[in-house]
Amino acid sequence: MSSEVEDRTTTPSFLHRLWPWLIELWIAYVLVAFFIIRIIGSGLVQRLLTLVRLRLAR
Amino acid sequence: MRFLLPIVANLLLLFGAFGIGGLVRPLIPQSFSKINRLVVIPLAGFGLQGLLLFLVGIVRFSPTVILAVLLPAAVLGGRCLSQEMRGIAFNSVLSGLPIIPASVIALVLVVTILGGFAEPIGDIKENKSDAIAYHYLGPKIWVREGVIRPALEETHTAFPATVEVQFAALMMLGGQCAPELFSVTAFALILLLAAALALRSGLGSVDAWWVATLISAMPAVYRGLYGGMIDVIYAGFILLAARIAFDSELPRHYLLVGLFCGFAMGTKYTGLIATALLIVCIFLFTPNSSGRFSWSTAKHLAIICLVAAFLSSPWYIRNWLILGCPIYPPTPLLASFFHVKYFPSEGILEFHKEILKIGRGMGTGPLSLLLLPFHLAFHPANFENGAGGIGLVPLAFIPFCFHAFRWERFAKALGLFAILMTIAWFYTEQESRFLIQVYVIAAIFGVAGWRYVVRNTPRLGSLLSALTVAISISYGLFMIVSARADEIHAVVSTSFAESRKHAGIPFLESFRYLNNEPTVRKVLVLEPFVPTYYLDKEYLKPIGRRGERPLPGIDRPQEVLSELSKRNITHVLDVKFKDTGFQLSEHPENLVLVFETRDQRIYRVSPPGS
Repeated sequence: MSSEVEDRTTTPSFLHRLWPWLIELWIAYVLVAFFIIRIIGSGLVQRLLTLVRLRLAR
Repeated sequence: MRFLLPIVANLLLLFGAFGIGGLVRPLIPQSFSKINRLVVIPLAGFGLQGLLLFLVGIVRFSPTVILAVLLPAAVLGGRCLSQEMRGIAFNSVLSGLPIIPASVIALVLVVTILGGFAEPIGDIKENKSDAIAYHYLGPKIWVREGVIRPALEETHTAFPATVEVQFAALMMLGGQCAPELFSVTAFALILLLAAALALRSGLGSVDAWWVATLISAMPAVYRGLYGGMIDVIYAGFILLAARIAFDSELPRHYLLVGLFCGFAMGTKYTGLIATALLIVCIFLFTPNSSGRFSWSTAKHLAIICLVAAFLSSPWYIRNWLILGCPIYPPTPLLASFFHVKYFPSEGILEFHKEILKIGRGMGTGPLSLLLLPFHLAFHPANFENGAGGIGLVPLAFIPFCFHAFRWERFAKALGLFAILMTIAWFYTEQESRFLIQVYVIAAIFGVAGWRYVVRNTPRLGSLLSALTVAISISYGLFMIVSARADEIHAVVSTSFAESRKHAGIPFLESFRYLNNEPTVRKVLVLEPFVPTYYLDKEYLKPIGRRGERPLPGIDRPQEVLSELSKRNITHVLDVKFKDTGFQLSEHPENLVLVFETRDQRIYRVSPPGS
């Protein structure tokens, strides 16, 4: 009986604790994806990286 | 004078809108707050003013007629504005002003004002500038000819033009730059409307400021309010129709909804689709209907349809009578039912191929639909006119707004309307600026989700949220300011303005010659892609850039050469592009070369025997 009660209370509490982490993970994903796609992937940064690569190759 | 005239013209138009819009005040629901009223009145005014100027302009569109409409309306507008502003506690509004949102909005406003004084510059080849191709071309011709009629060589001047008609009034009163400054009015109205919608959706006043801030820093929204674009005003009509509809109870409220639907249909053809979708949402969500069919619901929906159809009908009937089809240029399906004039069927098919190509976005399959939120956030430039996008806030926070709103009826209706409009957009033409009304709703839902995230993840979540908002705003500002940098530079430096003209206006030297030479009365323009917006004199273009045939029976520009005297043509402009040659031979008969420079030749018509 006591373990049943424990199960019922621990399951939602676990999800409750996980939920903020999921939110943070989602927002972090959006930010990281933006940096990779829009900033590192942008033409300006690509040109700069090419310049750096050329300079290093010399 | 360079700055004063556009300001005076825009103020006159705005006051006129308040004056004419004041007529709808008895229709506004009693529950509407001041901020709602201050959006409903001018936007209704712009809709009615555009319609009135159009109806008068079909007969005569002279300076006297325009002033006869605008001056009394502006006087009424002053009175209406003073009545509406009474009771607003400006001190309390200013004291509770959040610094960061206010600063961002102020910055974009300054950029918009400064950029609004720049001369419109652009090319019509490869659809580079819609403003030069038709948004400003139509108004310029209407003012010059003293009558509102579609320019037959440019099909797009036959679009419903509630806003462009007012551009014409601005041009007449304040010169070529005045319509550009109209962007300031559009900017202020969309932010006020967004704030009003946010408040109604259950957000607080600080949140409403953040909604306005996020919208002001969305390059994809901003693109729809300057450079001759009318999409923000159109979005305003649609959003206001929805705002009023979801709170309507009495027939007169539905009449107001019908007015705004009619204005939307009189601004863009897509207003027809938006109105149909809104009717579905009203049926499902208004307090009186809630998805059950009753005679009262049917009566309310009938009021909306009848009023909208009545107000927009002048545009569609005009097109039907003059051009052979209510929607012009027609869809291929409509073209098979109507006898379309001045636009051959090959041209219609080519035009629709082009629309499909431009509006493909990142695909039209089910997977692309699922990934659309990601595409709009990370690859906005893949959608026409979408460069810069809408920031990260909608993608990052909308998933959590479902908890924040507790799905009150108004938010549900607004959400469904946004989803339906997005699906319709996805399957018709995925051009970013056609979705501005959804971006506004997305900003509201995004801020609601942001609040939920801050409440539920107090530490890292708050930090990440702040970072997301900061990146969205700073990236958006960077894109907006860099997009308008040249225009602002041209306003403060006359030498840069001159070099900008040389770089941006094709065949500038020819336009200067033709505009300044007093003997030039009517010009024959042989090349379809010459931007005739820059020509101040009457002209004839036998073939349009989409293959339009304004002169029945004439399929090549050279065929007009035998009728020059009959058509009162005094000069002929012949130009060549990189990929084409001149249209005329070296020494054409009865034409005297009077001006020649690189890729441009102007001939004076010399009657036979002279």
